[in-house]
Amino acid sequence: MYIITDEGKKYLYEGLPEQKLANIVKMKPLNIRDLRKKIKNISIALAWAKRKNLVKIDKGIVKFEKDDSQVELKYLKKIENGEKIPENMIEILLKRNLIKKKKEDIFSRAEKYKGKVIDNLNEDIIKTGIWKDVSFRKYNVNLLGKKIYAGKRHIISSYIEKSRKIFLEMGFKEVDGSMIESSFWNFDALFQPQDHPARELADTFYMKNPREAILPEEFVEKVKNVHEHGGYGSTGWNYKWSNKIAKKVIMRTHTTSVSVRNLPKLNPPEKIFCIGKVFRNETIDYKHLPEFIQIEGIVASENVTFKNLLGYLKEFYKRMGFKKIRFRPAYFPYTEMSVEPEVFLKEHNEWIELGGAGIFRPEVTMPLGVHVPVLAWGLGLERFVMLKTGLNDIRNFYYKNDLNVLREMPSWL
Amino acid sequence: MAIVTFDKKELEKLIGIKLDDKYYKEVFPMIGAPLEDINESSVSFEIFPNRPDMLSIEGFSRAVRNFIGIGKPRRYISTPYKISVYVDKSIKEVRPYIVCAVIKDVTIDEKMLLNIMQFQEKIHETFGRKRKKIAIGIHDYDMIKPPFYYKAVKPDEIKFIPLGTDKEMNLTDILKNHPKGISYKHLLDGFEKYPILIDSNENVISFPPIINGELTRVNEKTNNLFIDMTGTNLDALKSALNILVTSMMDRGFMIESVRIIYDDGNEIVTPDLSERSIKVDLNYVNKMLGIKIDNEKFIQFIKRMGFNFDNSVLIPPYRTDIMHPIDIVEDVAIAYGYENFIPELPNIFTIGRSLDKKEFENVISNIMTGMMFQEVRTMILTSKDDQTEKMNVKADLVETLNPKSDDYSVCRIDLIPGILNVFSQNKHVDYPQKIFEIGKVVFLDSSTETGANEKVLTCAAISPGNYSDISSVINELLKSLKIKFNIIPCEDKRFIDGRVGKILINGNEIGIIGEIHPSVLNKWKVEKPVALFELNVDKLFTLKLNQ
Repeated sequence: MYIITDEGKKYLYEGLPEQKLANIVKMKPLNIRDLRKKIKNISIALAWAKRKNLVKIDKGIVKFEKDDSQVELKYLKKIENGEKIPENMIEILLKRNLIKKKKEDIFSRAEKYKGKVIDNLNEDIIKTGIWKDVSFRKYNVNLLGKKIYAGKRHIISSYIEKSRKIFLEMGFKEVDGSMIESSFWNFDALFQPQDHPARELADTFYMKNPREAILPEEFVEKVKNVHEHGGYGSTGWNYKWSNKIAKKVIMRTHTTSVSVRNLPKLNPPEKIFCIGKVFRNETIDYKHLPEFIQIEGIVASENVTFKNLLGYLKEFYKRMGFKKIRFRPAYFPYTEMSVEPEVFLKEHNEWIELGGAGIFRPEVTMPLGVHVPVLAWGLGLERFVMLKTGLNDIRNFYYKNDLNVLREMPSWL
Repeated sequence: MAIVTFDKKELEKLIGIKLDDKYYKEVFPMIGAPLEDINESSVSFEIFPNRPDMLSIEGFSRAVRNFIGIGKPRRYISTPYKISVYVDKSIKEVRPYIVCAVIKDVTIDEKMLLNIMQFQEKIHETFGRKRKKIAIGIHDYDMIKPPFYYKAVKPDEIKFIPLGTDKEMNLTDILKNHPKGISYKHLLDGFEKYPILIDSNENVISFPPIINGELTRVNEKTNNLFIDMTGTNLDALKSALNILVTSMMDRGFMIESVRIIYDDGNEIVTPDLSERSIKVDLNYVNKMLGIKIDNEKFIQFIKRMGFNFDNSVLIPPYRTDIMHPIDIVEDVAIAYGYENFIPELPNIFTIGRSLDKKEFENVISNIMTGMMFQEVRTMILTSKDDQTEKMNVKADLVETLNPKSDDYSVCRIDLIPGILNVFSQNKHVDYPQKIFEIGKVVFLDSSTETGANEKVLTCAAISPGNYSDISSVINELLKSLKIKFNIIPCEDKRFIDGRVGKILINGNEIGIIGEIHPSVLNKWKVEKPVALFELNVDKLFTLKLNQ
């Protein structure tokens, strides 16, 4: 749609400037200087008059040739009346700035939807109320749109957060510790004899750099004694304990090292937990990685019992969504009683072991100055994430980080 | 972890009752012997390191018989010694201890022989620390003439036919050529003389801890057995001998003691089958377990675990693991039945408290996931090449001594290599890929106890992505954390020159941002452009705390 510009309106009233010029020189040829006084926009008038051959210029004198048909005015009239005109004419009028595109208002824009079947609902249709006069094309509501990906936490992080929440809700204090550890805190302080198979190169990462740790002077003698001769009611292991072996730096094999470092600082009753990476010298396959997450917890109090240990474990696994759980005797050099919690999985029709737990031996707690029972556990994480998610290759988690897999993981566990 | 396999018929014969599969699956684990495998004819269990007595089929059956109440703890007595073993002082530095026993009037069939061999092998592997601590020799007693001599000799001083061959060899040849010699020669590394046990006719009985002589090979016709155990820890040897001879006594055989005479005149008689006693306070038992049992029940429970009672608990000679009354408490718990304890939360009031830094890390993760970044978690252990050469950098790394593969021989000092590895592993996955990680890195630090230290970094990356894309992200992240920052250009070979900058907060450098250099992308086989930033979360956290 087009409307007439102010200039167009003026010409419609006065006639086109080139005809005005023709009329003047028709009476008497005039030079350009004189004409300028008579016609305001002489350059436009002269340009069009020359183009249409209405006048002739001879040595600065403008002479009449013929009248103009003023066809433009005819079409301007038509536009004024809202009639259609040919495209080439529109072009000419636009060029001469006699008409311009009419800015459509929202109502006229919306007008075209009236009575139609609508694909996309838009602002015009909503605002104008035209929606009352349209119908909407029915969609196949079962057809999904383009695939999009949410930003998600890694599935392991989600389960770590869930575990943290459970222990925080049960009144546990969170602690953290170092992944690089001395053999002393990882093994010796836990009453693991220095020739224990778990300490061998085949199971434990020893460090080339750094190689030797500084031992905590206040505890070295006490730990050495309990290994060599016992005490606190124990016979001890009865061998020659070596300072040098205890100094060897390793990648921690369990987060129990963090618990043990916290024992001397305890002020019972206390509950502490720690979730972190632990390392075993394994060959990588679908079931094994040299590093994995452990969920560690201890409860130290005068009156805690074996029953309470089972209570905490049961509560944790219940909140993790395992309904059927049993406790099986186990062995760890630093706990007595030792227990392995197992959950029953219908899909597998078997009991799956998920971690280790126990009450720290007096040979562990006493040399570090703790005289109350300490319940302790170190639970695996990856294995039950695998069971829960159906993933059967542990390499997906850290090694490959297969984005196809991670993007499809649930956020509600 | 020791796994033993028993013939089902043999096991059920020794226990004395027929057992169904359910029994194997449900009951044995509750005694402390988790089932590993079961089929028509055989059954495998895991035996815990504290119960080497259950590595023998006889010891295993005994534990089961006592536990289910069809057996009673018995006492074991050997007959007085008739023969002696002389220990020469030359052995003192090499392998100082030997214990022996004679088993009389045995009847041996093939199954029993297999069981003895399994037991011997498992003791070697576990309790014996791969023969270092204990090496066992079992011999046909009638082939050798007492007394015996245990001494150290020069490797080429003596020749004999080792078990499994038909050719005389000296000790050097055995270590070089005999399969057992090759497997265990490291145990004699650094010694000029090697241990040898010979009889009165100078016949070699055994070359511990490597191999026996063919002369004393045990077969189904053997009537009497001679046992030698050598090693570095006398207590461990005595225990292992006790486990073996009590197993044989359970079969009904007689044990004759052996006198061991040291060159300094000291002598001991082995085996020593006396029972140690240990006082256990019933209150302690009840307090630790959270139960209430009376003395009568207590005695009944410990008997089911194989202990006798006479004012104190009497420890049978094959139980080597009892160090403290708490060990008896555990056995009471097993007899009580782990399944019979009712799990119970104690009423202890403590206030839960998370680490502020972990919460801070979670805030960062939430912002990043809000910007549609997928979290990834890469390995702490990685290769030196990944951390340095493939990143165009040099660095001193925390390094392991004994990795099974170079792929995990060092600790990461940077998150960026792991992030590039994720892009490299995920070329088949829909783009754009926006990923981030928050994790610990490890570096050398001589000021700490261990010589290493750790810090938390975060790295966020976009592929395909450019500087403008990633700078929008750092801006939004730090703005959300209410942190003002600026970026100054810097040089870093990991990034494209002129498209990399240090991220500063109040003049403190806390990270880097830029477009990864194509030479690095090539090394990682990453085919699309990568723009990323890395921040030191520890520093960020400290700055936030001080704000």
